[in-house]
Amino acid sequence: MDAETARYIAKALCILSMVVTPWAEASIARTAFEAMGRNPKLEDSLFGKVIVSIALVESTAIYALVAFFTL
Amino acid sequence: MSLQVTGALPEITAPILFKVGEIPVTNTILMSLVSWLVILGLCLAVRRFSITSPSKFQIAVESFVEAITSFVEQVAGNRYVAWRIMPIIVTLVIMILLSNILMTLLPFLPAFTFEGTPLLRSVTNDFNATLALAVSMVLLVQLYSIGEVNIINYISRFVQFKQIITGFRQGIANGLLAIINAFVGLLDIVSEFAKVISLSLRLFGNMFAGEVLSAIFMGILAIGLPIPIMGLSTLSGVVQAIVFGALVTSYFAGVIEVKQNS
Repeated sequence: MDAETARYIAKALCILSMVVTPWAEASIARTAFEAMGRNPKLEDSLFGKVIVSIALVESTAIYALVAFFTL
Repeated sequence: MSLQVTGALPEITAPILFKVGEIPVTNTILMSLVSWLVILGLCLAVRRFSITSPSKFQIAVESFVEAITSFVEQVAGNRYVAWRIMPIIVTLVIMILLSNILMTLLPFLPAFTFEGTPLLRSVTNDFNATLALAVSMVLLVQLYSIGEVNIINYISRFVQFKQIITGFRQGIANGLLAIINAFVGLLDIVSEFAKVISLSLRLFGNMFAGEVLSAIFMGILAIGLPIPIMGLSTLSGVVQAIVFGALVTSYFAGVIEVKQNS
């Protein structure tokens, strides 16, 4: 296996690390919607927390993207 | 009549239009001048607001500011912290929001060209701009942190010699725990740099992806089809402005709360 092939395989592995991110974001959103469904008054106070936590989860995918372009 | 417009995909680096002396002027710089003028015009318009007879525009602006301030209070979780950092967060959100959506709200702007390159380009489509925003915000958080606790306490948050000594005085188990905490503290240095990377790349990536996507859809069918894509990129521009503000607020809140706990 030459160096170029190894680079492409490494890039593919970087993309593979993004697989879990959508699942994690979806699970945050699902839990938040369940909580809102149980107690609709929570909607205002949950919004900011959901946005921040989704952004934090998303940063994993951004690190993977950075690694993808630096490889 | 051609149904497809195969424009060149936008490049990652902004093209240089001309040079003033040694300084290259890119089209994002011109666009930032335009958005400064828009913000300046808004400021001058806000000065003319009256309490007794509010116009529709005044009500819109006031409800927008009200929404942002209540959002910042929610994210900070504390009224005192929220109102200490309110001016900078609201400025940040308004600036990023305008530079994100000015281009999609006025889609005729790229039609002005200078020697083949468009004269204006959305500010956040330039990585330099988002990197500058992220670096300045994270540096400001560090400065606030130094201002809250003094500089010795600030350094000892990252390099925890003192905590290890006090931990071993209390017993072996506490000492070992303090060593683990010291390694976590060293990792916090890395996380400060990671904040810069994630903040800047999140904003840049989302905005740039929107532009590439609309260029690709222009190549598929130029009539009607790009409209929902542009709507989508406007929506993601608004969401990313809110996300940037919320993240910076939570960084500030994490720093300022330190004083209130101890």
